[in-house]
Amino acid sequence: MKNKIIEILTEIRPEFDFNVDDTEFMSKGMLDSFDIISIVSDIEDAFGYAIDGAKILPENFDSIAAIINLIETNNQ
Amino acid sequence: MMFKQKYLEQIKLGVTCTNSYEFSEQVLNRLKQKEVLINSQSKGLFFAENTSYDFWRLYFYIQDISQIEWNFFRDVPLVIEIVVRNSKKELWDSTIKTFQNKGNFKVYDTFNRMFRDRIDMDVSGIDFSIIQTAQKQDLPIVKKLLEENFDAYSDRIPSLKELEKLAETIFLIKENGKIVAFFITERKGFTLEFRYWLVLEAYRGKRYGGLLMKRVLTFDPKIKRFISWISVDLEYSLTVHKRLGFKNDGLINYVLHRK
Repeated sequence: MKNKIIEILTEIRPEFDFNVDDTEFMSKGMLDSFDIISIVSDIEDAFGYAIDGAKILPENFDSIAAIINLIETNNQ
Repeated sequence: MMFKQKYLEQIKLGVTCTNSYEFSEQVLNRLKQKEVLINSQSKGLFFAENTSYDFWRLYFYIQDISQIEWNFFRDVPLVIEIVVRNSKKELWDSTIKTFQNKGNFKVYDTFNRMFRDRIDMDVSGIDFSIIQTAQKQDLPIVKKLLEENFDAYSDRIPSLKELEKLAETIFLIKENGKIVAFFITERKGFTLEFRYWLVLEAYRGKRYGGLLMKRVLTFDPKIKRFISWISVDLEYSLTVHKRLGFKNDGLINYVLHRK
């Protein structure tokens, strides 16, 4: 799952190495709110389910761990 | 504080669509502002922020759009921005239609986001000396020019405070001390977003626009990517961007308006 997420992030923001820099994406300017829209869409396509709109908040996309947690808890 | 917190709790209850993608704390700060209207329904939360123009900006968190009562904030003009990925466009089309049919909103403008990765350009023979970055005293004039030449509803004209933050990436050309052209950009990490590009009508044909563009594309080698929101109605701008190698990145921004 981690590799797929990194692949998605790299597709959206190829200028960053998400393998090395994997936290505080928002405060570092690596992602912005519009990128979140793209990430949600790509995660939904990649993993085959819709992410709850209430969870589409930047704190859930601020690190690789947060995104993994979002995906893992989404269907619970 | 607790009073506003309840809205945040409501937001967390199975929202199916929203146009607000901010940290919870930022949402709470917005809700705590004096000039904010809040409409809380069992299946949705709407809030509108006053702008310095003649409209309020609307944000929504909807749990079930079929059960929304649409008579909120009837006495103020509203503008909504809804940004969607084109692969989800069909899903959002029905939501936008509901805003149009039941909420009485009209689609005011539509923008596509375009991007271009950095390509090294040889600008060694180009004289950029007539271009300067904005100083504090330039900013009120820049703001006035923005208000005169851009659209308050769809172009998110920045406040003076916001312009101050952008100053180091605002490029100006002056003639006899008067600003006649500018290119306003915003640095977002290693990405540079094009915000406003203007050559005053009386000064067109002097290649100021092209010169500014070359400066913007090359001034900082650390910039890896350029992005720009282009209205679907601006064919000239679209053509220029395509000529420069920009492509759509799949994000669409619908600007809706209700008088």
